[in-house]
Amino acid sequence: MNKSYGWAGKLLRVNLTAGKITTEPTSKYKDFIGGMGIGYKVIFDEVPAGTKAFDEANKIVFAVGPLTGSGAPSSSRTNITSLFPSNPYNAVGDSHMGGNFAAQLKYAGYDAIIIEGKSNRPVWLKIDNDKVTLEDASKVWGKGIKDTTAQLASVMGKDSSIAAIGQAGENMVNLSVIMNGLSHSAGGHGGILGSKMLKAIGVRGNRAVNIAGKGRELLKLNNYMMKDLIGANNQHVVPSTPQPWAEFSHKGSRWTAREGLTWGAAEGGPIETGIAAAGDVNRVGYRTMKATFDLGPSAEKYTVRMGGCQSCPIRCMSQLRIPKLEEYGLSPYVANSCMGYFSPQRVMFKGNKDIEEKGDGKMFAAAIGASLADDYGVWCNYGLLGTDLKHGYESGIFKKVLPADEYNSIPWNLLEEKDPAFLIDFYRRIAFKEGELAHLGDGAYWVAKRWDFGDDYWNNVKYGLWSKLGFPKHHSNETNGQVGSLISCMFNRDAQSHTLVNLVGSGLPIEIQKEVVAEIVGSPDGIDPQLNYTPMNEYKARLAKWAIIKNCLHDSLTLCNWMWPMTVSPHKSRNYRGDLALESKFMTVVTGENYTEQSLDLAAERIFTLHRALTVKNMNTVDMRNEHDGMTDWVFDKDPDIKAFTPGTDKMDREDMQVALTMFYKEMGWDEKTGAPTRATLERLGLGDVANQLAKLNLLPA
Amino acid sequence: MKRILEHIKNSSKVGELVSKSELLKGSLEIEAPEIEKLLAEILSSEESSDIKELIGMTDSFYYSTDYMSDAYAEVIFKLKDENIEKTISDYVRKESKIYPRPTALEVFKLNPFKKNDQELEEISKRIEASDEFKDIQKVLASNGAVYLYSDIHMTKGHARGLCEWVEVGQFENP
Ligand code: SF4
Repeated sequence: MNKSYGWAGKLLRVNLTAGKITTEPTSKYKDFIGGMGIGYKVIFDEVPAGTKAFDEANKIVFAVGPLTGSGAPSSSRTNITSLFPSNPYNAVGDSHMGGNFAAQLKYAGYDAIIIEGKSNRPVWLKIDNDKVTLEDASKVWGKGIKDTTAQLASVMGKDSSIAAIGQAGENMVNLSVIMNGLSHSAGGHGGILGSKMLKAIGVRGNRAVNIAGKGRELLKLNNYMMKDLIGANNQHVVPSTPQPWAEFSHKGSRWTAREGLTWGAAEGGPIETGIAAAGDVNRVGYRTMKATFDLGPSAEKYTVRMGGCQSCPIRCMSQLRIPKLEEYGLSPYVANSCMGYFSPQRVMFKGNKDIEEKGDGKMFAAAIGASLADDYGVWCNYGLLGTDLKHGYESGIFKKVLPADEYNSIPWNLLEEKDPAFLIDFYRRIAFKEGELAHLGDGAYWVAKRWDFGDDYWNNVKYGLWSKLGFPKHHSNETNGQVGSLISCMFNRDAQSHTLVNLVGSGLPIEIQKEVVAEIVGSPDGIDPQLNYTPMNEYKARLAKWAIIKNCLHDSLTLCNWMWPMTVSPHKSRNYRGDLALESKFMTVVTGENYTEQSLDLAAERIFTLHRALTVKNMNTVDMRNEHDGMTDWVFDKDPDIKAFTPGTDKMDREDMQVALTMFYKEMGWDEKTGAPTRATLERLGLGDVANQLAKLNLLPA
Repeated sequence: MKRILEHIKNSSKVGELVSKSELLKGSLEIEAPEIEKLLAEILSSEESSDIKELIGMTDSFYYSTDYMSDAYAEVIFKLKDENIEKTISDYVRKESKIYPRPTALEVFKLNPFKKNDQELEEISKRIEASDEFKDIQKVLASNGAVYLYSDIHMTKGHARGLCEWVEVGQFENP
């Protein structure tokens, strides 16, 4: 066999019904790069129309890409693709996890794992390089993610990576996660593994990813990125406080390192982040002090260090040691980032009481909640789990729909008293599907239907439900108006796209952002100053397309879209310009084949269009405009006293958003009336077989 | 010359300007006439083109752009050369204009301003009372954080929306 560069060259197919494990060449998926691209292709080709998420016929694909494990910065992301149970049509969705799993899979020699069928007993998949076996999981079935990980790691060795589900996944809770490394979670697909009785996948690899580039080519690229391009988490390129080296600063920046700020509980005594200036490659890992950013100043003294994924210099996961957690029956160690910490605070919607000192309640709720949710493997639907609890409770609906015994057994008093002990009871009910309340774990669409949540739920600006399909806003209208809105309409779950928000949040003045956008889409009018939006134009449609396809590209290569692309840089000497061709430079060096920014963008456009085709197939309609791409009313009705396109509001205009959809469909080459991909576009992208299948299902636009 | 250059660069690294008066007083043990000559040479030489001069009312200041940004140098220069109300107001105006965004009052507790709560309260009052700064307005986020903006560059509604986003909204959309 020819030596494969970048790609491992083969993928694993695991049929749980037959207990059969085979390998296949990756080459047939090359046009889809890897990761997300392989996932969509497999699901489109192999999962019949009408299949539901927990059906035996559904498949789940764990896929990585040609840059995973190559040593390119921020490249250990695993893309998981399967039908998405919390979506009303169970339409396809992706979940993503960082950690070490992705790199280990490559080192073991695989680009993807396709899981199909259903086991009749609990099993786990053990991948030890070429030795791949299904093992009995009866000893860990019923256990949390922490115990499972510890037990399986004791079998496989410390250098392995274990991706597992908790009790929530086993019980097929729609909102459940798959997690590796105890805190790197992929939300929404845990129940699929539960339905297949696959408790975990352990992987250990000790081969290398072959690099085609000669001599120091790869190292040179790494050094270039580290010195000239990379910022802090979310590619924020200015510090959060004024600092001597920086021309600009921005309070919202995740470049939080500064004099006097420490990892207070570091082994051997506090370590000061200090000023970690642009270009200082040895201090990149100190730039993002996410513990205090996420949890407030109380977290400083508990921070052991910042952790993160294999091959990432950014370290966005704060790892804390909070001895008091033991009093709640939990380990004192907790690690997480972003939503993992925020979602328990949403559950504690009455607020948080102080625990050890003034103002530390938020941190305690976050740490206790993250610890519980991550062990049970409960997902939050990007925060809606707490929102749904709040609505059911405050509207009085729970009093009506929950049996009285159950209602009275819930420690509402703890919630009212702002005591984080409430979380212990709450997450257990969800994970074990205890009683009626546990339907919160079904996801927003299903609970709203079950409990008859009305317009006061769907159209509530404070709740932020984005779509009637049951997912919330996630960098939506507040992120460059129609552009963020379009991005948020295109997927079957919350948009997990950071390409645009990273530019908008980079901390650079609007003139520089406009210049950068003009270089991307041909006009500075693609972007407006924050909260001062103008009516739709074609450049905004182009920018939305650019942002989405870069996201699809990263989830296929796989690179972390919290960092990539390098749209801007922290250096004045570069006029703050990043390098949008950097992915192609890495691809060329790693694979030895000639890639350009354009060729990769085209592949990503293919992947995104395949997602659209798959959505059409899953929903059995071409009418994407009305059935899929709609927004809830609050987006248009918020700030009742002012009109859309007035400074200070991100309220959108109904007619203008329809224009936006039309312009976007046009940019994508989709049918302008329905928003479904046309045969001509599918064929242009090499997806003729997809067009044929859609034609057979009568799902091509007229 | 090397000693002066190093002194300027090291000071820039830690966020300080070097003043001519300090050099003339002999802080580097170089005679005053020699200082004037060396400074002139530094400023005209290609090799030290990173060294810049800011000329104030009573003194001149030097920094290296390799280690200190022009924006930071401008602020600390103003802190030495102007009154604090003007420095803060100009800072707010600039932010309202270029980003555009309102400025958290809290920023003025940090380097290079380093004012405490009481000082800030007094400064705010003096800004409010003076006609020279009548474009500087206050706006509050829902968590109580105080922001300033210049109404020459931004409306109140815009400023309120932006400070609400930075203080509250962004954490609900991480
Ligand atoms: S930025 Fe954070 S999530 Fe992304 S690769 Fe780095 S550590 Fe992982």
